[in-house]
Parts: sequence; C-alpha cells; structure tokens
Amino acid sequence: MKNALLITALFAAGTYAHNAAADYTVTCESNSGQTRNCPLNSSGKVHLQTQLSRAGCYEGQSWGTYDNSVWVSNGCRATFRVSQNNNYNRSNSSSSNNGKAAAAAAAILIGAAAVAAASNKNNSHGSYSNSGYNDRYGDNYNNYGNNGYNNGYNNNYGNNHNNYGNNYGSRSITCESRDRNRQRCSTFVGRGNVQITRKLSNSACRFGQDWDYDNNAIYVWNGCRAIFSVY
Amino acid sequence: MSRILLLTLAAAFGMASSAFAQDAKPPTPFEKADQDGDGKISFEEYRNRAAFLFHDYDHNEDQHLTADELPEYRNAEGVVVETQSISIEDYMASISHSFDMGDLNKDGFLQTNEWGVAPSMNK
Repeated sequence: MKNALLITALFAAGTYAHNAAADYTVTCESNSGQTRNCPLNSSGKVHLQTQLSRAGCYEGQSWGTYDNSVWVSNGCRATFRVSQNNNYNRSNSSSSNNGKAAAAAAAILIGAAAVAAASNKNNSHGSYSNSGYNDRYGDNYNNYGNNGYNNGYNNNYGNNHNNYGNNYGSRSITCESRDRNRQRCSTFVGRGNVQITRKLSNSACRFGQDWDYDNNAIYVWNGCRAIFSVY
Repeated sequence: MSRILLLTLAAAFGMASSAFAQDAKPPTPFEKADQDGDGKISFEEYRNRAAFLFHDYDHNEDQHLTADELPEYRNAEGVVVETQSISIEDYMASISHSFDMGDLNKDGFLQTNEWGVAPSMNK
C-alpha cells in the first residue's frame, strides 16, 4: 500500500513536470539523403516550424513523428516546434525582426513566379513567359553536408528509421512525351539531382527546353522521351 | 504571285507550328508548386515551393539572400526596392502570412485565382 502510494506520487510528479514543460524547438536534418531520427525531450504536438532544406519536407513522406522522436528523410531539414498544448499557430510561431524585408524577398521570388503564372493563364495563345522567374536548374546541388545548422541534434546516427517514410535511393524513371504533349512523371526528386541516363526519342531532350523537373516530378514535352536517373 | 503564296504559306505554317509548340509548354509555377496535382496549393506545398526557390537563389549557399542574389524588384510605383540580407529563418517565417493573405476563402488552400494574391506585400 505504501509502495503503491509512492508510485502514485511519483507518477503524479512526473505528469506534473511533463505538463509544466515549455515549448521548445528541435532542428532535425537529413543529410546525404539519410533518414535521421531526433529524440525529443518530452512528448508534445510536433509542428514543422521552419523548413531549411531545398529538398521537400512533406509530412508522412519525408518527416514525421515516432515514439517521442521526430524523423526526417530524403534531404528534409527543418526546425520543429514541440508544443505542450494545442495552441500552435504557424503565423506567430516565430518572430522575425526582419519580417518586412523577408516578406519582400519572398514576394520577389514567389511573386515573380505568380506573375509568370498569371501571364500564362491570361494569354493562352502566347508563348510561355519566363520573365522574372528563373529556376536555376542547371546548377548541381551536391553540397548538403555542411550547412551551418548543426545545433547539437545530430548525435543519433545509430538509429536509422528506414521503415518510416519513403526511402528513395538512386533509381531510374522513364518519362515520355507522346505526340509532343507535356507529360508529368511524378517522382520524389528530393535532393534535386536528375540526369538523363538514356534518350529514347529521336526528338531532342534539352534540359529546360524539352524537359525539366522539380521536387516532385520530371516533366517532358516536345516529344522528348528518356530514361532519367534520380539520385 | 506564287512568291506571295509561298510567303503566306510559310507564315501560316509558322503560326501553326508555334501554336503546336504552345500545346507542349513547360509547367507553370502554380503547377510546379502543386505537388499532388490536385489543382490547389496547400500550405505545405507553398512552404516547400518557397524553400525550393530560396535555395535556388542562394548561390553561395550561406543561407542568406543578398541583394546581388535577388532579381530586381519594383513596387507599385515602379521604384526599385532595396533589399537587405534575408536569413532563411526570416524568409520562411514570412510566408505563413503571405499564404494567409492569399487564401481569401480561408479553406486552407490557394486556388489558381488566389495564387497571384498570396505573395503581394502591398496587400
């Protein structure tokens, strides 16, 4: 009986400490495409607060929670907020003393993209306009190793939770533009490296002119047909 | 006469072939953001697109966008807006508000008609 009381008291104390814990953030980074598991100090609701990577961070695909930890994969790097209650609001989760300039920069980049989208839509007989909008796909983005965000959460190399999320290594995907139409071939590009392994069409497959890609798909048009390797 | 006909034919063919080419155009920015292809942009898709673009422009990969890395931006009055160094944290923190501004009907998604509204800093 005495023991039971003690256990109950300990349990109550533990519960109290748990509830009293403040919200905190954890930075978890998948480098070189590896799955990374980052333990949490306490349980709580986990929200992706700041995405740091170019590679995609999609919940359930390249990040998630499991057993009091957060995992990332396929190059997703992000800061997560662990909250003890349900009042998380993504709009005020992080204060920025440079918010206006940042919003302007975001407006420049996404805004330019939106302007291009609008001009495309409004002028269906015009040619595709790239004005003010350039994805510089020509570069190779291999330098994910040292990114300056290693905040001491990278001690968990031993735990490879490869069963969580999709684990994409180097692989082949065939994408073909039939009758010169545009074809979207959905695939997780992740780190953003795509190359033509073998051209199947007589039509040219020039990067940016006949094919392109983004985080989540390869696009071909103008009759380009090819086997691509994604890595 | 035949020469004019030839020119006319060439012009017609040119127009036809350019119209043909337009059918096979690259994906629009909206389509690129629309990861699952459902015709609307969730905040997660918007955030991923924003992060992707940040790194696209961050040439020296120092996690900051500087004026020399950004395209020239003019405000509504046509005046070039000076940009200061933007950290990725500040940049990513700003997009939530942009998304909410664009999401006019507050359904948590940007439709095509809301897409152009979202990033405007003047609204």
